[in-house]
Amino acid sequence: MRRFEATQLTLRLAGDRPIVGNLGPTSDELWHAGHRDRNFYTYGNMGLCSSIALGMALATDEQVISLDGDGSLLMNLGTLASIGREQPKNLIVVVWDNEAWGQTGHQTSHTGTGTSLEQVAVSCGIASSSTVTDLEELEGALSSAIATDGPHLIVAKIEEAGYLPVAPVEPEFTLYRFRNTFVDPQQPAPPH
Amino acid sequence: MPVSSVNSQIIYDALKDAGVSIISALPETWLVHLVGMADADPEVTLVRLNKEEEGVGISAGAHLAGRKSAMLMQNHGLLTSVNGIVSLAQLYRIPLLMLVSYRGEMGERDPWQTEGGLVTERVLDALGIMYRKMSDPALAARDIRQAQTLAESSLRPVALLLTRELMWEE
Repeated sequence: MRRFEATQLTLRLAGDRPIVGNLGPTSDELWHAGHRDRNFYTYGNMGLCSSIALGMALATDEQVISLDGDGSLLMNLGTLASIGREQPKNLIVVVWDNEAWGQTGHQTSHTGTGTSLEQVAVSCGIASSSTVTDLEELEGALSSAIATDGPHLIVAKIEEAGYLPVAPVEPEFTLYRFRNTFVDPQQPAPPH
Repeated sequence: MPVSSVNSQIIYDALKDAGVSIISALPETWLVHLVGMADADPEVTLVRLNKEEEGVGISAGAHLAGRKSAMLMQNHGLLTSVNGIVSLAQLYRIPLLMLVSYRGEMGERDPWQTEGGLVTERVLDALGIMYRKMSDPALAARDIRQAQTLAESSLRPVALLLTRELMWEE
């Protein structure tokens, strides 16, 4: 399955739910597939995508979707154990797994040599973990995750088909737009 | 264990007064009472980390959803968090309230703490992070209130260095 089509499907199923996108092509494609205020595009902080989503899930009752990547999640595997310990019912982690560090020239990642992120997640206590290999399976797994208590982890084996242009996002503005869907920016300042 | 429970309580109460409701931490001797208080407090979500840099993500996510958070860590945890601080908190302008136990300073007996102690303030300076050394319990509540005010107004990380004088009784 192509990641861009998988991203389009995810956006369609996500409705108004906040999505935290991993750095690089994942966030670029998220922007091209459907830019919206509730997309948080992370750039620069490799590994922290699902940690941000975990923090969000613990801070709100809304369902939060993390679009992570195999290389990035491998950099911060401990956060799967943190998710397993916290058991946030409202967190869905989707891992785009191309078994490679794609952006730097498709060097094989550890998921390409045997590491199963699904099994790691199950071992960490994320019982609802699965691996999907086509759009139909992804639609089934993600629909089910949205309809049930989590935490959920879906490893989606994907292919890349060239890169879209880097999304024209700006970090501070990305944060401002996203956060203002959760807090009222018009709240009067407290006296000081 | 001669970690000051009285001063830990003062610090914890000040965090609560500042509206902090999510705290991330790893076990650390000087922070043992603080972490225990957060764990026992039904009004606070304690997130136990495996590496301190995760906590930058936790605090970022909390901020995105409009909640106030704090990070409890040792200064060596600050050192392991540097990319998250720079490439998430500073790049995206996220306030981080970091309470950092200041190991390896004057009076340190453990050789393994000394190199981290030597570089802590210089790393904070290099990162452009405002910080204050906390040593007087009578000023602790003010220090925490002011640090959070600055973090929220500057939209940047702010560090409070918890010194031996504040945390240790012997």
